[in-house]
Amino acid sequence: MRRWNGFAAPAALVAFTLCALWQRPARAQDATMPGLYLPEWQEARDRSKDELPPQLRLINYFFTRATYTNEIGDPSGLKGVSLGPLGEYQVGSAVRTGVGNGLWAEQRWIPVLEYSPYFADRLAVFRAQFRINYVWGRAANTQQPNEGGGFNANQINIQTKNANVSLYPTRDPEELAIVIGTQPAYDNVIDPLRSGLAEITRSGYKLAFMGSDATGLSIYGGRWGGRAKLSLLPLGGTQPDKAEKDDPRLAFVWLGTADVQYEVQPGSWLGLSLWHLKDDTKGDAFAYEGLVRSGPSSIGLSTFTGTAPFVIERPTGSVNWLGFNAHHNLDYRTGRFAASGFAMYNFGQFDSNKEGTKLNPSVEISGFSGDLELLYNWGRTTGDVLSLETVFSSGDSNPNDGHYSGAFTMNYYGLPGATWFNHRTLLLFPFTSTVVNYTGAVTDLSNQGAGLEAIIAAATYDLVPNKLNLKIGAAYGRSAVNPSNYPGSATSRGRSIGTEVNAELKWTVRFLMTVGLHAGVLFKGSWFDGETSRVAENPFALFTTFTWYAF
Amino acid sequence: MTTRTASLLRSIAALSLLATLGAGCTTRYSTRPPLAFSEFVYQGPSGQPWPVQYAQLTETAQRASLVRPVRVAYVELNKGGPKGTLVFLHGLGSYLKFWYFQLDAFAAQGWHVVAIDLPGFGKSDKPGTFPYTMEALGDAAVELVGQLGVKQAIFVGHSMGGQTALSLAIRKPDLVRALVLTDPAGFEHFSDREEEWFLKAFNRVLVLRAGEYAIWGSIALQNFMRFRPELEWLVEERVRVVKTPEFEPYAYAQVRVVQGLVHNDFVRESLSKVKAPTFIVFGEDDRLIPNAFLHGGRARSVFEYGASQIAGAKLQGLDDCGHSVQLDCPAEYGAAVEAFLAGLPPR
Repeated sequence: MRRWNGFAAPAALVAFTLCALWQRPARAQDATMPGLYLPEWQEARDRSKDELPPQLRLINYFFTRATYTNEIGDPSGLKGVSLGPLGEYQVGSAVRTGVGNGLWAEQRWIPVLEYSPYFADRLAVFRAQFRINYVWGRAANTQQPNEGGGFNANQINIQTKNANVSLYPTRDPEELAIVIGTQPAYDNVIDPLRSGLAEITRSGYKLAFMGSDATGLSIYGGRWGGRAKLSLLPLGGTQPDKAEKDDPRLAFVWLGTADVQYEVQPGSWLGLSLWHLKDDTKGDAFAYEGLVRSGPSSIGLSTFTGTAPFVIERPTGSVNWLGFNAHHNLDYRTGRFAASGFAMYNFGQFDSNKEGTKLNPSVEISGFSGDLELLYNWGRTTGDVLSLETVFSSGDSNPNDGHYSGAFTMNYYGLPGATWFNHRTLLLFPFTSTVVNYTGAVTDLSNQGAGLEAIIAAATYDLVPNKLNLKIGAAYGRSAVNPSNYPGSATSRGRSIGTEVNAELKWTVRFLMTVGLHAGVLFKGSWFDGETSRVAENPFALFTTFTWYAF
Repeated sequence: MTTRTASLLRSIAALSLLATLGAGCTTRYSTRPPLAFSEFVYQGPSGQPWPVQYAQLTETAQRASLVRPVRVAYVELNKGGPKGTLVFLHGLGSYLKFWYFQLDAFAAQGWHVVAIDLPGFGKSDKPGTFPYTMEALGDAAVELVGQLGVKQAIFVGHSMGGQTALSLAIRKPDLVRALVLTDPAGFEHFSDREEEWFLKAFNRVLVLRAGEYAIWGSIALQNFMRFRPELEWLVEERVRVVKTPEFEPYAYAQVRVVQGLVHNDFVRESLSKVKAPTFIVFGEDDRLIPNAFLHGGRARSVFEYGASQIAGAKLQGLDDCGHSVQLDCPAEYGAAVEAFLAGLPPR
């Protein structure tokens, strides 16, 4: 195979990105005498050497990470899983430093099956994703997920990530797609079943508000100069009044989203979003069945995800989000400069359904958050980039006043439900190349309700073009308001969370197959004052990763 | 965060985004009327249109068992030019206008200039059953220059056109006075599995469905280090031609060319048989060679290999230039090629 330029290369780019269409065997030439008309038709219309996509396709995501760190999780209940912010206490993952260093390896395989029989004639595609997570050396013979790397561990856990059907009534997936079933639930207008994760994490709201899976219905549309999405997803359900009133009816957490994005010029998009969540579960639904309840009153979930639990009992209520997002030239195709960002205002109210409650009878929500990222492609490859990103969210200094003025993310409903991917840090925010360990100083945009002001800078350079990439980065974060003291501590806490410096070296073995070496240290700030037992040292971590997207 | 601080940050963010979007205005060509290949204006920077002519290639058609002669478009300048004939062969996915800066310039220096839209490209016919191998494309060029009365020529080939020119130099050495290989294909090694992957990943739908931003990427990002407004016609023509009936046959022809490339290691394994004086000029920052996905690395290593296999080949890399080096860095490219041509023995 040789090289080309110009007109054909766009298709090649798409091919490399999607690798979506496979060839079928070429038809054999027959020995028919040409006669009249046939040769002319063949020259003009014969397309027999073009190929159709396969009916069945398998995509594999395989990831392995080894970790050496002094940031140690002590997961209660969730064996093998470490979630939540550094220094969290009482329940949850209870991640801390100062107890020595840990070394472990974790591994993940996600097979994606895609089936569209030819007799469906492009009308429908079935997709399913499964997930097999395991930590090396952990026993397999349990019913817990995330186990099964131990000796004699034939019995590996398997988790259904999603399973759905996409219907394409116009036979053009970009024009109209109706997705039914368990599906990726992202805070992005792009159809995640037909897009790369890199595009989703760099645009829209970058999974800072929602990044998981849910079951329901979504509709994606495009081909009119823009794209739009409508979705209706029940995030949770329970029988909240069964015990007290013998009322067997189910109550749900419903999320409805409407997003629209318009391409103002090639590669530059402006988007608007309006989402509405209605929660009638009175805090009884589970984020992790039998272990961690969901909703704003769930203290357990908050400690796992880094949100701020509302001081309220048996709440019902609603939350709304009004957002604006924009991105420009994220693949550096129209120039060397790129940018992305969002601004989000969330508002709503939860009311207590417990008579005579001594806690807040209601909590009014009004919070703001935003992000802006600027990038400059300074070199030969798109691996030569300077980036600067700032993120902020308003904070809440008094959980008892009936008002919550912070960001409200789906981390109030999922474990985790929002996973901001794009930050390029390892410790200030959780290193996103992970399997079951997702810890950092800040694990939710709200920063446990105290708000966030952070700036992140990074420089990358392809030491060998498209083969060996070096990154150095730094980040600083502080809360928007002064946090309350740690329990039992008389020491006032400051706003400075810390300063991180990190470096990464990534070797691309083959296309979409990389080996990475990542190291970082977080110089902790006054945020951790008064917490000498749980965050006794500056956190550091050394990761090695192996990633392979096999198409 | 106080309300005032939040408002300030909001304002900064909004203004920054607006400034970002405003600073990088990019024309949307997809809203303009369709533009067929036949409507492309072939011209150089002077704005003076080149005289586009057409030839009927009957021998080429017979070899391919086609019922009609293949009609190819070409531009011929300064016929009878005393220095000899330069035949320009474009790359995959392009057409003779990719020699935008060169045709008038070399004609003005006394060269007889011939530039061809190879079968399947530009204004030429795109028969679905044409073989579209480097050899078939090269033979079409040979038939054309024969019709023009040219006995021997210097072949200037870009990318795929470079591989086509190499094939000619190997198979028909008497026809080739010299080679100017411009970021040529044909040197990089691909295994059989890599070739098969290419084959499976490239089809007509991908060519047809590429959006405007993807086209920007394939042209401006992949081919240039110094893309600038005077070159936006490359994007405009590619975007506007998509909506014309001619584009679908073009897309299929590109698929067939890729298939022709995939199954052909003849050139790479026959480089030592090239006897013509050879000049390899390339952009040091070529983003397409070596293949970024399958191999990575530096362009120079690939072209050094090619130069090492061709006896007496001269190699020159141009700094801060990309794959379409003749468009990206026309001044440096022109000077380099002129110096090579000046050193050739007289006819």
